[in-house]
Amino acid sequence: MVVSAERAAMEEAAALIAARMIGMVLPPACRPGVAANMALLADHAAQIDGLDDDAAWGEASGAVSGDAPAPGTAA
Amino acid sequence: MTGATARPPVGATGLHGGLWAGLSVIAAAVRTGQVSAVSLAERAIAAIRLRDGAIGAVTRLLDERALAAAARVDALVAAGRDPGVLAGVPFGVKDLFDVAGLPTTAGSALLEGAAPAARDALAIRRLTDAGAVLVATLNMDEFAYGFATVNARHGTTRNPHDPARLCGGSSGGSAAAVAADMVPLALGSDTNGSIRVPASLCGLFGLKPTHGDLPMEGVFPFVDSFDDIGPFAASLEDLRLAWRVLRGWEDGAEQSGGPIRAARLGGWFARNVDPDVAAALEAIAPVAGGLPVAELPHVDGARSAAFLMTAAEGGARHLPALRQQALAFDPATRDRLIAGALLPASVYCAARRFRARFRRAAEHLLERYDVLIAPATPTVAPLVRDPTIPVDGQRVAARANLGLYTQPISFIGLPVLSVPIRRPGRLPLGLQLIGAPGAEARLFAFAEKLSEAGLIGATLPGQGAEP
Repeated sequence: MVVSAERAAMEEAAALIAARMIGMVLPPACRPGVAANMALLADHAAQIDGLDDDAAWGEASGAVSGDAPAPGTAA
Repeated sequence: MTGATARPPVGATGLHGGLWAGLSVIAAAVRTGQVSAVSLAERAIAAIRLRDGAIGAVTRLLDERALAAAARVDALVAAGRDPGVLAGVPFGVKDLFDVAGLPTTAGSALLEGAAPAARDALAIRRLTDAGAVLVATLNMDEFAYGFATVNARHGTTRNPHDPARLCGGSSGGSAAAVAADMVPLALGSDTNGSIRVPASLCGLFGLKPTHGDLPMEGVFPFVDSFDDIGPFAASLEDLRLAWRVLRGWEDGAEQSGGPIRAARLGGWFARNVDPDVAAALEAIAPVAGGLPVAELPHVDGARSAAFLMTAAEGGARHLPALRQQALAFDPATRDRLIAGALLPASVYCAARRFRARFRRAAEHLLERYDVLIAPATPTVAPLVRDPTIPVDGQRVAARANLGLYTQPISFIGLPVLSVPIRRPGRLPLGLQLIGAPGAEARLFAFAEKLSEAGLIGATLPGQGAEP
């Protein structure tokens, strides 16, 4: 994914601050890669947002869905 | 006993026309004195010296150790004692198993100066107690974080089927060493697919066991929640024998009987799939007595949760070293680990809660079916010069995405047998046979049916490779 220079700079700044919370001073060489990976993890976190309780799963919680015989085969 | 002219472990008697026969054939020849373990160790060492320059699978050749261990096996035979069911079988291990007297590097230059391991990892001891002979440690992505086996310290391990291509990872050195016929057996580890992905791309059988079923003692950890170890081999029989020895069950007392109900996974597992895999599934259907399509809910979320837990646990493990010497890490690993260490605890906990629900859904499905079949990789091995794969119409990094179909499964600890689709003359592709916890024997029984039908089987490099 291509991001603007302005957004990349903001994300690197955010990574620097976050790193201070775990006692790290991010070397310049790490900053773009760490920021990009943080953004990727944020996307993954959004993927499971709201899917961590039973209400969100409903019938799917333990249910089998979508069973259908493959074309030309016995079920 | 010289064994230099003995034929059983070589040439035409090799399982697939290669250097090595099946493990039990090799061991039988050693146990009966037809061939010496020393000659087999020499053969493996020579094969590594001859072939590894083009492949880059081996990080440390343990020739002195191997020859000494093989001599001890031969001495047992000479004394009329049985060295074990793997007598004289040469094997290699991923560079994260403890090897007595050597630092355990986990593929990292950071650990090359670490204190030497006091003794071998338990998995190595189980194999050597059965007579096997360790000859090499094998390449991997640094700290097992990747699906490519592209390593800043040891270089890129090439695919023996086409050295212009990746072999998959992170246990790529283990897969490549077996596929290139340097050794007939190797051990790897699998957290998100690191056995199944290289097994698929190198055309081998590989086992990711039920979580916790094979011994992790003396194995450098990555993600405690779903790290496992397992073997690679060129045949189902070899893989099963290695699994039994690793478990401590040499005699195969496990139960595998009864009809086997199989289904193939749809939804996520049918997207981005190589047309040849789809064709292979069609061919399996009549052998399996029909192959209904079953779906797991929220598989995309499962992959995301696996990513999050991996990053968080891996990052936390390496945080002390990252604080002190971040620039000494492989850059491809370092930035992912730092980002993981920065992940909020609330996100990690949400991923764990998601996992509990996803596991429950999978367990319900596995009450209806004994075996769930899914692709192992979305594509054949990517090119080294263009390490990307197509996913949903875009090119994405192979290093992070080759585990598209493997991550959601190991994430919940299920056993998976990775089997190569039989396709001589083509680049390899594999399938995952997934079972309920503890159901490895059922997976082997099902794979045997597929093997007897000629649908799966390893293909050696040189039998033709074209995309």
